[in-house]
Order: sequence, then C-alpha cells, then structure tokens
Amino acid sequence: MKVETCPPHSSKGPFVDPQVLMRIRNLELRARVVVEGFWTGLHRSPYHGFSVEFTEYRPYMPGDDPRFLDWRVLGRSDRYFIRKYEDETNLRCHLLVDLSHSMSFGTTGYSKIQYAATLAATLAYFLQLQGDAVGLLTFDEKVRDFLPARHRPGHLRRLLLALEKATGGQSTDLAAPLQRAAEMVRKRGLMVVISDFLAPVEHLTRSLVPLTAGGHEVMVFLILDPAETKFSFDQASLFSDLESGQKMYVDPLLARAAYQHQLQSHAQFIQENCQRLGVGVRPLTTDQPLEWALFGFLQERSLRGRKSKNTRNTRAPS
Amino acid sequence: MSFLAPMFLLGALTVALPILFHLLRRSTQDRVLFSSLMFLRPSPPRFSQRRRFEHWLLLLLRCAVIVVLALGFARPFLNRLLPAPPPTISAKRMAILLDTSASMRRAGAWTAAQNLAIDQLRLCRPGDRVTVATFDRQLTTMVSLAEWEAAGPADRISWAIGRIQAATPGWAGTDLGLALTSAAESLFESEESDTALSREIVVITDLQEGSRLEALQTFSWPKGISVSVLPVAPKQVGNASLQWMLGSQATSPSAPQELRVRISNSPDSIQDKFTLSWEPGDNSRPSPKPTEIYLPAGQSRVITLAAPADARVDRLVLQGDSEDFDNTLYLARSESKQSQVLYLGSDDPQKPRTPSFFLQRAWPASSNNWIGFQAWHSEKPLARDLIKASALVIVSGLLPAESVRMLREELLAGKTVLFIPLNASCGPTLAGLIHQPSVVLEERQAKDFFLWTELDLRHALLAPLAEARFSDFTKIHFWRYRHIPENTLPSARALVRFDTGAPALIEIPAGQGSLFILAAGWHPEDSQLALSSRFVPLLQSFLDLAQGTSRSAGQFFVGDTIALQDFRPHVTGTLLTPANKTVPLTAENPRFTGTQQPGVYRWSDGSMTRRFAVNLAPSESRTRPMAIEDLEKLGLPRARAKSDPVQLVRQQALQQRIELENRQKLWRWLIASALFLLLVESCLAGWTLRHQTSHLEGVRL
Repeated sequence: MKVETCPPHSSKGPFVDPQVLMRIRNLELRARVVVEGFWTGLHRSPYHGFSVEFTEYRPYMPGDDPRFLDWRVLGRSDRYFIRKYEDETNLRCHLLVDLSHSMSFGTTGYSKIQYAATLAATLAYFLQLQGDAVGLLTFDEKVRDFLPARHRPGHLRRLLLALEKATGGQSTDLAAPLQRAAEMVRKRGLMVVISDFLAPVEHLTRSLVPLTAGGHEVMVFLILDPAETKFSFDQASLFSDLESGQKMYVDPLLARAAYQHQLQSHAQFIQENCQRLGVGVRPLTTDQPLEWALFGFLQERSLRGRKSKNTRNTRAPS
Repeated sequence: MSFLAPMFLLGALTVALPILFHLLRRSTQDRVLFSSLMFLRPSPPRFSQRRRFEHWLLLLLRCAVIVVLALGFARPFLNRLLPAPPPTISAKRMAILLDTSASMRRAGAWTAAQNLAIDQLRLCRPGDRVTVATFDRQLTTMVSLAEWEAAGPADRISWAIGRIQAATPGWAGTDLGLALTSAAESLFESEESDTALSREIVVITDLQEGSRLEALQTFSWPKGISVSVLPVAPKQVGNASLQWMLGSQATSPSAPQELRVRISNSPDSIQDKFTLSWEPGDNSRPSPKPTEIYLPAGQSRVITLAAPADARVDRLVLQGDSEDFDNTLYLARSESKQSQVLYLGSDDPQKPRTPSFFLQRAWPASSNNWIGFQAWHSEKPLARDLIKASALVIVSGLLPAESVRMLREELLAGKTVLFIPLNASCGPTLAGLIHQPSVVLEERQAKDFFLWTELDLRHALLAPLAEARFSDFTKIHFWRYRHIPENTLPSARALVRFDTGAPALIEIPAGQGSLFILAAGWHPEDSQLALSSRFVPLLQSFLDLAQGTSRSAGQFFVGDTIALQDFRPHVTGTLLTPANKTVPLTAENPRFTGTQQPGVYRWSDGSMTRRFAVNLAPSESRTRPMAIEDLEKLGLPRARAKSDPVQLVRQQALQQRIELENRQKLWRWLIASALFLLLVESCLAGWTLRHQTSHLEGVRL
C-alpha cells in the first residue's frame, strides 16, 4: 500500500477543496456540502433499489413461516424453499473516532481531528439520509464519548455536537477502546474506525478481532497529515512529541528517508493485518477531498455487497 | 560629560543579555511539535556557522533601555559648569599627646611612642601649628604653641623632635579622658578667630584598660576637632601587680602587724608562678625567705603577710612577672601609738542609752592606733595635762568657766574639740569656746522625725562617708536637736543640715584647732545615730582629723599631693624624697606635690620622723589594651582617615561633583527615557507576538 494517495491539488477535479471546506465553521453544513455535492454528481446511484432485496434460498424446515415459501419454485419443481430478504433498514453504523493528542497535529491549516470529525459527520449525514442508524464512539487511550446507533430525529444533531466538541485527548491506545467498543455494541453492524494509528500496532490484529468476531463489518480510515507522509521539514529542529512530550533533535535531511521507510512499513503492517481479517483500509491525508473518502466508503461497501452476493449466488439452488 | 558613579557604567555590559536572549529565542523557535516521534531517530547536532537576528528593532530597543538605565545610575553631569581648581589646603592645628604614664615603661612601648610622635611631626607642613604635650594623671605641655611659632619654620620640627627624644615616661597613672578634654579645650580656645581651621588631636598611647575616661563621659566636644588615636604595642603581653588592701590589723599594740596584699595576674599573661619577698631599702641585709604563689592568668588573690620585724624593710617585691615596672610595693612603717579620747560630760558611761556608753564602745583596735577612752565628769576641775594627752576632746555638758577657758586655750593651740549640747542650757559653754558673750540654744522637738540633709561630703571629716555603703543617711532619724543660731557663730560652716534647714554639724576654726558642734546627740533620746552603721566611721573620722591622719595617710599614689593637714599639728619640717632630695614644708608652703616617683618619703621636724609610701596607682597595672571603639562610644570624634593632602583634594573635588550632579539631575531624564523606551518596546513586542502567532497558526498547530 502506498500511503500517499493524494493527487496534487490541481487534480482534485470537481470536489470541494478541504482548505475551503474547513473554513465552514458549522460541521453539519460541512457534511451536507460534501454529501449533497457528492449526491448530485452521481448520475446513477449504484445503491439505488438497495431496499428489500432477495438474498438467498434455503430449504424449508418444519417450523418456518409458510408465508416465506417461494411458491413459484414450489410450483415449478415441487420443492419447498424459503426465500430470504435483506433488511436494508437495519444497518447500524458506529463511527469510532480517535481523539488522541497526535490527532491534534496539522500543517494544512486544520488538524487531523478536524478532518476526522468532518469525515465522521459526512458519513453520519450520508447514512442518516439513507435511513440507517448511526452511532459515535470517541476514544484516545480509552473510550471518551459513546452515542449508540439510532435513527431518530435529532440524533444526528447530537452526534454532530459530540464531534464538534471533540478536542485532543491523551495518548493513543487502540486495543482497549476497540475491545470496549466490541463489548458495548452487541448488535452486528458497521464499524468505521477513523484514526492515525500512530501507536504501536503489534497487537492491532488482536484489537480488531473482537469486532470482526462479533459479526461487525469493520472499515478503517487511516488519517495522516501531508507533513507526516512527506516529512516536509527543511530545518534541523528540536521535535517534540505531542503525546509524550519527549524531545528529540532531528535533522530532516538526514532522517527523512528512514522516517518514510518506517512509516511505510507501519502502514503496510496495518494493511496486511486488516486484509487478513477482512477489514477494509482507506488511507487518507488531510489535504484530500472528503468526497474521496465518501466514495471510498461506498466503494468498499459495494465491494463487500457484491462479494457477499456472489457468495449467496453460488449457494442458491439451480 | 562626567559620571558621579562611573562603576554603574559596567552595567551597560548587560546589553549582551538581550542579544543572548534573542539568540536563545531563536533556538527555542526551532522547536517543532510533531504528532509522534515513533518513526524518528535523533540526529547528530549540526552546528550552524551563522545566526541571524530577528526583530532588530526590539533588540535595539532593549539594548537601549539597558544602556540608558546604566547611564542614569552612573549619575552623569556636565563638566562645563565645574568651577576652576579646588581651593588650596589650609594649615591645620594639631596637638600631639604623648602618654608618659608608668605603663609606658614596658619594653618597647616608649620607643614606639617616640617614633610615632616623631613621624607625626615630620608630616607637618610649614604652616601647621603644633603643640606637643605629655600626659599621665595630668596634661603637661612639652612644646607650647608660642614656642613652636617662636622657633623658625626650618628648625621647629627638629627642635620638637629633640624635646620628644629627651622625654622619659613617668610613674603616674593614666587619665586619658582628662588629657583629651584639656587638649580639646586648649585647641578650641586658642583658635577662636579661625573657625575654618581644621583641628586634630593625635594621641599616642598604649590604650591600657586602666586609663581613666570619666572626663569623656560628660564632655561636649567642640565642632571641627578630630582625634586620631595611635596605639603602641609593647613587646610583651601580660602583667602581674601588687596592691595594698585596707583593713590590715593588729590585735594589740605589741602584736606583730599583719598586712594584706592583693596580687592580680592579667588575663593575657603567660606567667602563673610568682614569688613575693620583702627587701630592705638599702640592700644591706639579706631578704627574708620569699613566698611562692601560684596564680593563673586572669585571677587575683589576697594574701596575708606578716610585716617584717626590721623597720628598714620597706618594700615588697614581686618576681616572676614579665613586666617589672609595677612589681615593687612600698610600705610606710609607722609606729603604733595610743591615742586617747577625752569625754567631758555628766552622764554615766556604765548606764546604757547615754552618749558616753556608746562612745566608749565605738573605738575599734586598728593597725596603727590603739585608742583609749577617758570619761571625765564635767563638773570636776579639769587638768591641762589631761587635755594635752588627748587627741580628741568631746564635750557634752555644761562645763565650769575655768574648764572652758582651759579648753579654749588648747583649742587655739591646735586641739580638736567636738561639742554636743545635750540640752539648751549648754549655751554658756559654747559661748566660752567660741569666745562669744552668749549663745542662745533652743530645743526643737520633732512631730515625727528629722533627717540629715545637705551633707558636705567633700569635707575631710565626711569624705570617708562618701562611699556608697555609708552615704545613705535617710534611715537615721532624729527626734530632737538644739537649734544653734548661725549668725551668732563667727566663721561657722555647716557641714550637715537638718531637713528644716537648721545646722546639724558645724565646724568653727579656732586658732590652729577646730571646734565641731553636733546639734543632736547620738544617744537614743536624741536620735538613731548611735545605732546606725555610720556612727563608728563618723567618730573615727573625727579622731583621724584630730590626729592629723587619715585612713589613707601613709599610703599615697604617684602624683598625689601630701598636704599639710596630714601632719598637723606639726606644720613645719622637711620632706626627704626617695631620690634624697629635701623639700621644706612650712605653713606658707603646706603642700608637697612632687610625688613623681614611687618609694618611701620621710618627713621630719627634728624630733620625730614619719614615713609615707608612694606607690603606683593600681589602675596602671591593668595593661591590657582597650578597644578604640570604647572611646568612640564615649563620643570621641575620631578622625576617619589620615588627612592626606591628596586625599583632601580628592574629597573636595568629589563634593563639587556631587553638588553639580545634584543641580543638573540628568538621571531623571535618563530614567524617564528608559521608561518611554520600555513602553515602546512593550507595544512593539505585543504587536510582533500577535502577528507572529497568527502567522504560526497557518503553518503549524
């Protein structure tokens, strides 16, 4: 995986420049701008008609409701099959947003927290429009705020308020908050983790396993600042760690290559572990348009939907 | 432009601080907040060869503040207002006091003092007016101002040095206070016209502890006089001394006399083993066996010695002391004699509460006198031999006219008579004694009691009662007395008065004798005097006065005056000093003031010889040096520094610079400028900070 996925600003196409977007102070308005622009830009929604949809057949078992018998199959082949449908209104999405101190870093005029909050708000607004239930869990080294997934009037506003007041927390610890999220969210749903993952990730697999084992569909947004990916400093300076306060004299000219190599290895490690668990990873830098993130989100969902549809089709009776 | 305190200009060096801070601030600006250092490794430091300043204006303002403040504290002033050259130094008036007390006989002290005095003289300028004096118990002028000015300017210093080199220390004690005050008064009085003249007293002394300073306590120093104390130090420290103690006794006239002597060893002494030995004056006989004494430093002991049987042994010598100027104590050996007190009265001495009962019990046996008491009834005819054999005659009753006449004749011949009118009917006796037609006595009875007041303690009779243990007479009550009209008594002098103002004790000189009149008796019917502790000393004082001796008679210190009344009634004779010099003493020349040397002085009128021992003052043996600060505590205007001419010129120039600076007060403008610069700097720094913060938010967190 290549971390630097951001094209030059000149090639952002029809999307809203994040620099411009972030000047909008209202988070809900920001999310609406992204979603509606994204909506109107699509000629055909690939997810239109995603409503009550057939998923699979299964043999009738005594005790099943006879209403779900496929009468056509019965009339054609004299076999009893139960027709199952997907419940599209039951998608429960939880946005897990990292508020650790390292997310306070930013060189683009806004921090990674602000970018992550906007991304979370965009996703929440988009899902709300689709009639899905959206929840929020913020964490740093432990869980800070938790809003269960709901689809009610006013819930989106509460969620956006929680995101707006989000400030930098302490150090990053992925294992404990994800473990805690798996404990708090019992119903299966979509878990979207938005973090910079600037923490030891040796136990990342063990942290994600509770979520995937709980039947959740997990998706990861890896948010980084462009300065973090390029290490675009030019003077030897005393670098101070935002989380630990540790100071280190670093000459960027000497340290850049090793740094980028380390960061690349780190991202590669995350990618490989997530793939092994079936978790989609979308790396983002904060200068990338949020529409890209939304597009990546839908793309990931679509891929997963097709993957599961193919799986079901292979199981359907001929 | 000049500066009053140029050292403050060094504060301008702190201008390096803002520059340093600006450089340091740049290094702090290089600090970068980063999200995580987990992918970074420390780099080896890279030294940059060039540093650049930011905010030049701020730096300049801060440097300017420091420089202006340093200038302000340096108290600048403009030189062009300085008057021309400082005035020339005027001549000074100086008195050099040279200590010639006995303690200056210590090894090395006198030579050092002479050298110091000579140095002072050589520092004198031609216009200076100098007097040189020596002092011990008194101030003695060696070179007077008239002599100084009479000598030529070229020769006066060498002449005065010659006088100093010829001087030698004496044997008297030290009265430093008297010397200083006398010199100050003479300096001030002699130069009244020239008030601007600087006056200085230079004291060259060993500053021993035993110096008397009482005169300094109440002395008001005239303005313009400064005192320089130049202490001299002897080669050795520590001293032991001898001193006779009072109260030496003999149990009977024939018993051997016991003498008590105090031996003191100074705290800084290194000797602790001494020997005491009697030595004859003519060195003809071997000295008796010496007495060994162990006395640690800082302690004193009183030891009792048996007086030697040989009358020619007249000195006690201390050996083992490092300083020997005070190691010889002279003893005046006088023959013990019996004195008789004649009491003429009508009361029975065997009956208590009568005057004679207390009188015959009042005389103790003393070392020098063995006193007998003779009571004679006043009505009995009086024999002249009885009066002649008595040293003191006390009359308490009405005497026959013949007795009064006889007593009057003896009184005129030099006898001392104490008359106590026990009742108002004794007036004729008193009139006969003072040769008046009549004296009317009046009986005065107190409602509660009378007290003695206005005691003339300077009189020889009452002087022994001036000690603190005797001087309180307020507890002696008198119930009655006989009022004696003073105006009827020729040349009477009231030594004591009652609190009513009436005389209580009167002295009337008569011929060569003296008549004392006590207005109230000492017996309990009249007063509590006989029961008080003052009674015996008072009677002893009467007897001493009548015999022409005193308790201190026979023991003098160097410089004391041997007065005529000490030998009364024998007023003519010759005095032989230890240096075998003969001095005639007559009624016209009644005092001998030449006790300049310790030793035994012999007085003789041809028929009898009396000896007087003159010793060193005990205080002169306290040779530890005192602190000069002790003199300053007594108000001594000590000269702060040597009045060097160059230094004086500098001081005057400094005073003028101070005056100029006070007039111009440029520092106020500089401080105001510094405040203004600080204000500008604060505004500029605030603006820069705001600007920088907004700029940084766009780049970093």
